[in-house]
Amino acid sequence: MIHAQNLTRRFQLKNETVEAVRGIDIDIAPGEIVAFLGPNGAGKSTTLRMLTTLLPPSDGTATVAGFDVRRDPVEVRRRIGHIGQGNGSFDGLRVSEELYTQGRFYGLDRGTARARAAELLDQLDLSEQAERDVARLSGGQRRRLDIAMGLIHRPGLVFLDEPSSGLDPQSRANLLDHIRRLHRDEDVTIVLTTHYLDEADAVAERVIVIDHGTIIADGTPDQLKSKVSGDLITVTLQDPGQASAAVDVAHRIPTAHEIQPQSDGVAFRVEHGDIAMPELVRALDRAGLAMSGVQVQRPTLDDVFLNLTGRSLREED
Amino acid sequence: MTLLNSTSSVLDRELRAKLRTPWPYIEALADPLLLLILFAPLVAGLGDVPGLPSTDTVQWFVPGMLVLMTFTTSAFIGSGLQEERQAGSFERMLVTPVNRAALLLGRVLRVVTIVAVQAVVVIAATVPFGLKLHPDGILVAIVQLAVLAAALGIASLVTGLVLKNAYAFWGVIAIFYTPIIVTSGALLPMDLAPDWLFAISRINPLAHVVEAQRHLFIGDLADPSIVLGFVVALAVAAIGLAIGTRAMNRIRL
Ligand SMILES: Nc1ncnc2c1ncn2[C@@H]1O[C@H](COP(=O)(O)OP(=O)(O)OP(=O)(O)O)[C@@H](O)[C@H]1O
Ligand SMILES: [Mg+2]
Repeated sequence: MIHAQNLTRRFQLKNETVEAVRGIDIDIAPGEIVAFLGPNGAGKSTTLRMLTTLLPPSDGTATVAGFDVRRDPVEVRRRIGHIGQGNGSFDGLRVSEELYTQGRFYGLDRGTARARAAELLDQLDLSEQAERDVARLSGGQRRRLDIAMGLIHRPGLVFLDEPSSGLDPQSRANLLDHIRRLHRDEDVTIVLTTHYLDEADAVAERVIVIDHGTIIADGTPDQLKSKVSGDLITVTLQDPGQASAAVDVAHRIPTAHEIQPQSDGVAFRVEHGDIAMPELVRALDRAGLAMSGVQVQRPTLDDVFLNLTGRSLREED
Repeated sequence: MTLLNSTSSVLDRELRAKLRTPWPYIEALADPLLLLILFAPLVAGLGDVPGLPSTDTVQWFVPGMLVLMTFTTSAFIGSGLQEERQAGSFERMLVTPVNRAALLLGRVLRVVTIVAVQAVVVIAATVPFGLKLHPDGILVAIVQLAVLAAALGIASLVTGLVLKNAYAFWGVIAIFYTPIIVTSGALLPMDLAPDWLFAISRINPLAHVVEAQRHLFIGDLADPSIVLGFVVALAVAAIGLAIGTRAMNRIRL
């Protein structure tokens, strides 16, 4: 579905050259649902813009939906949907009007555009808002309208640039449901960008981690997480003064590593958190240390990112 | 999707949006009428002045007002394009297979349509002030105003496209606004101007259209200024369209 080689984009500013995307290779098969994960400025939108023919690459090639983005941009446009980072609808127009016009732009005849618009409004729970000015929509409704506009011509491949940014948790969950359903029920290939870790984790079957314009990891969420060695155990003590004794205990647990003293306890990784737990409780008991709490955490994509770059994705939000 | 089909879809969207909030256009209508009420008596009071008819100042004044109205309606539409570009709705259209020149042409046709309607309204409203109607002259005059609207509209869109940000756009407008209005000769005859100012008015497309309109409104269809008015407006439109099409094909978002 997507085949890109050495895709590169530079921006020439007055006194510097921004290397937004530095020679990335991407292969995405039909039916995949892929998330580009990366911090602000990583090059996610720029990559999407090249793949959707909005921006010509400085270097490299890309074939999208069977056509070269540079040679046959119009053929690519016919076959893809793109939901950009901004708002696709414009104040002063009504929901149904924007959707209908979008259908016309894709070459649907009047009747088909109208019927398809109604169908999508229904699917995306916007029927009630159909005759409302888009300026009067909530953030979540407006985003769903963007998605509807991207789907009006039944594309087999859809790009979504930060579909849920700026939404409250409930609208976010709802939006992600729509995206998952699209992938599952209509077999649409989906590429989305996000800097929310849980979002990539929740929707994507494959995550491509981008940082400073290059791909630094690519795999299923589980594959990526398995690169982070082991589960994180955090022990909190009733008496914070005993923290150093807890560190000693941690050193005696088999497979324990990355042992970090905490102000009121200790944190460390082990290969299998659930197996290490009973062992840990006994060892603390023997040392006469009373716990106030203990937490076992499976590795997150944030750990993956931290592991790869030494920086946390969360801190940059 | 043909250019015609695409253009009509863009025009349809444009008209729906703008007719729902018609206030700017109603304002644009009020302008010429207010000038007619407040300024035309001053012009009439000037008496014997070169370039002014000794009687019938209304017949002389109304064509200039129509040209100014055409300017107000069509010369700022580039800013609307900038807003859509900023918001993301322009990007959403660029990612469709729609003909990109149609995205400009549809917007231009919107102001053309509106200017034609406004012209009819203003002409009808000035009959009570003593405007005499020469039907064939007026018909050609309206066509010429529509061509001028297209020329100014496309020039404005191109400015908006090339300059990208709103400050730059309104900066350009602020610099050119006063010279264009004054040297158009719409308010006072350019015959009064010193040579250097008159020379400037010769490169102002509006000045040529104002002169053509004045001849059309007295039914003097044979005057060469009429053809010149068309040529100048069409030339601006053609240059604008050429730059605009190029800019649309190279547009970066
Ligand atoms: N039109 C442009 N001109 C100059 N620099 C640009 C342009 N577009 C993007 N950049 C730069 O390219 C880099 C990548 O930007 P991009 O928008 O692709 O990042 P992103 O991963 O989408 O970030 P975000 O999560 O903030 O949307 C940034 O450093 C950005 O400043
Ligand atoms: Mg982005």
